[in-house]
Amino acid sequence: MRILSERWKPIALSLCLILLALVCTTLQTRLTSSTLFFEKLVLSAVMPLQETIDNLVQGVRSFWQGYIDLLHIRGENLRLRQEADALQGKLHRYEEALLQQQRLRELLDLRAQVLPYPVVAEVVGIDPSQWAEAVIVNKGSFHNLRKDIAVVTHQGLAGRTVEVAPHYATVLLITDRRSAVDALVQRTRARGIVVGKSRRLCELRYVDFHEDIRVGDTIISSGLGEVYPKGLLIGTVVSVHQKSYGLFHEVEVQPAADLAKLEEVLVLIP
Amino acid sequence: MFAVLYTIALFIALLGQTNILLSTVGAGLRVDFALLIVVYFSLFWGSSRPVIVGFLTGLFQDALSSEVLGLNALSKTLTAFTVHTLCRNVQIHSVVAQWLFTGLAIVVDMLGRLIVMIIFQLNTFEPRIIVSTLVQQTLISLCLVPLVCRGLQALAKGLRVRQEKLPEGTTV
Repeated sequence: MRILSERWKPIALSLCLILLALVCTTLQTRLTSSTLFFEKLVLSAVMPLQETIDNLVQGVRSFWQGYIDLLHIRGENLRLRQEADALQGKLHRYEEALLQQQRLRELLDLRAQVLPYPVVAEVVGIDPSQWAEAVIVNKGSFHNLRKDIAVVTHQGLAGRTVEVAPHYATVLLITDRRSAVDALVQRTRARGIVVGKSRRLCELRYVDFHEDIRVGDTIISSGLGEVYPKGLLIGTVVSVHQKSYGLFHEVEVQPAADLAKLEEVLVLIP
Repeated sequence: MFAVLYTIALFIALLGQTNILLSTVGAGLRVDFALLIVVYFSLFWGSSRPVIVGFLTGLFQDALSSEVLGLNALSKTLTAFTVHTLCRNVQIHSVVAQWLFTGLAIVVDMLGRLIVMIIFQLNTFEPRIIVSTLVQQTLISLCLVPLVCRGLQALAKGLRVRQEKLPEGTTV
């Protein structure tokens, strides 16, 4: 009897644990979509250590790079000065354009565009699952972050927050298969949905077969859905397949932001 | 002391998997260190411990991941149970045996995940991505599993943790 119970014990335990795992999955998929206390606890326990390791490695790396950079600093300085002059001119033109746009908006009696409040966050870790494309940043609910807020880089849209702990948040990247962004083709204003395709690529779905869309077209967010503000640069069309059947184009989009090398991001709090 | 050994192993695995310098975002050249930990405990530890280790490792991985809670917990429990059941009469110190069970663990883990994803109608992947990720993960894991097993055995020795029950037919 004892031998029998010893034999069945791992099987019974495995079944119980599998059931428990299924209960956890059901709870999160069906009942609550918010970040659970346990998830917040684990994020808050592991990430400070990760951050310390990153800081140490970055410190050593920046010390070494600083030494290397000193060797090229003069040439770099001259080049940057020239670049700054050119950018200054560009900035002036953009400021003019912004003022003109504001005047025109007022003239047309449109609601003044409310710009979201940006919070700078550093990427301190990545999602441990190789099936997910997400990163962990060092700002959380303590810094007014909440679920479903757009995250951008200087290059373009990066993703949205999906889990928020007090000092850390998980950002789901636009290339993840669970991500969907309502989008527009900037040139033609054709509408579609940018869905993550994994492997650092996205797909623009549901673009009407009659719409004109070409390789090189810029894709921007449409502002629908209340997560991503309108006009954020998503990426560029890299391929368009026109099938002889079907209602929609098959469009592949390369994200504008380099999602494999994210270091700092802006969280756009509405 | 077993708890200390497991906690250290789990922390190192999770830190390795979430580190931006060691790993890249998404699929690609990445290794599931947590799975290797589960393989080690399933091969070298007896009784009900491997199953509990599998569940806890998966649960902690889920908590850090953006995926739903329970997905890895289930797949890793299933993996631990399968590996532990099948390795009873195998010479687990052989590198070939460790490779075989690691390969098996990767397949079981993947199947477990896919089944849960289908049951809960979660977005799954294109078969092309599944196959390429499976191949890459298997190759890297096979290279790393003997090192992980040796490392953890050395750590257990250092912590003076004695394996209470070995699988039948194995020697220390």
